[in-house]
Amino acid sequence: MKRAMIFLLALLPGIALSAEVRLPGGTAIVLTTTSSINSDTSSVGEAVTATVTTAVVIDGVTVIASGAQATGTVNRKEDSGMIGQSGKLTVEFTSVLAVDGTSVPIVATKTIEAKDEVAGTVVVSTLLCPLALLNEGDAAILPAGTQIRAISIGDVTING
Amino acid sequence: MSYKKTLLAVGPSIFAFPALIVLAAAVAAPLGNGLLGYPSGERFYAFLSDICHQFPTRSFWLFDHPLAICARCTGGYLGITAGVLAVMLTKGPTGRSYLAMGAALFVAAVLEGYIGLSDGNIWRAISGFVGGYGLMLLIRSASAVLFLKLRLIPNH
Repeated sequence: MKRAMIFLLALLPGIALSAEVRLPGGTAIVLTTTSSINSDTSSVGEAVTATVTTAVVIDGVTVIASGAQATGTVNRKEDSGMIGQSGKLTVEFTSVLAVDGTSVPIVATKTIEAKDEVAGTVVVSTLLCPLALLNEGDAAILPAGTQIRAISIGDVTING
Repeated sequence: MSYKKTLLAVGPSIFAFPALIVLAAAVAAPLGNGLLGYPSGERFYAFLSDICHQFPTRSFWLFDHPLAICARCTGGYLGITAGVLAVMLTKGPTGRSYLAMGAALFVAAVLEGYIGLSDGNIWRAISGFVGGYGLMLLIRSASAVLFLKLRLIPNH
């Protein structure tokens, strides 16, 4: 009996260390942008960050903590311009940090387009004043605090 | 069905089909990703991305994925559908008092949305439902009043 107890106690650290959890591909992760991104001031390839809004818990084990950082880039942008041309912006998040430091690949894309003013500008410039053609459209802005739905890609084993 | 009944029934039903399409797409998105796997539901998320902010924490979840519209929109489209069914299955309100009631419900829901009194997705959905239902009452009553004014339908 004593030997059996000692054997079981010896196994405990092993059990505690082996809390490996599989994060299945296709898991939804909620991200929140931490800073505002402007199409007129950002550049393609610029790094962007967001944090995980709600912890991802698998079988009672937290694998991605709330507040974990997600990284991505601005992968497409168009500046606003004359004749009311609006700005456009696409950001893509590609990874998020799990609790053990594993980089979990994700896909999350958000496209923002400012309200287009081209038609209105053309009408006003034609009917009222040609100088209206100088009207510059609005920049596309992805505000801080915007929630983005991300999906994990492929199965990832995480030490929870 | 008489001319008057046809006219008053067709009006609201025009709103039911888009509302049902939106609701079906909103549910199909998490069903697709949750049951068939990513990216089966993505086209539905994209389809509805222009009509709703789609914040996941402000949406109901199904099969571990958020609906493609937020809780308030879900309630709103359910309210529109319920409102359409109510005015089609009953004689329906046509008088000015119902016009006022519909306007009051709709305006109250819109104001509540701006002020943000409702906390939690259930309350947001209820607020949306009231707004959607009120909008249908408003449209039905307004169209009846308008048709009477324009003499498109007889008074009795």
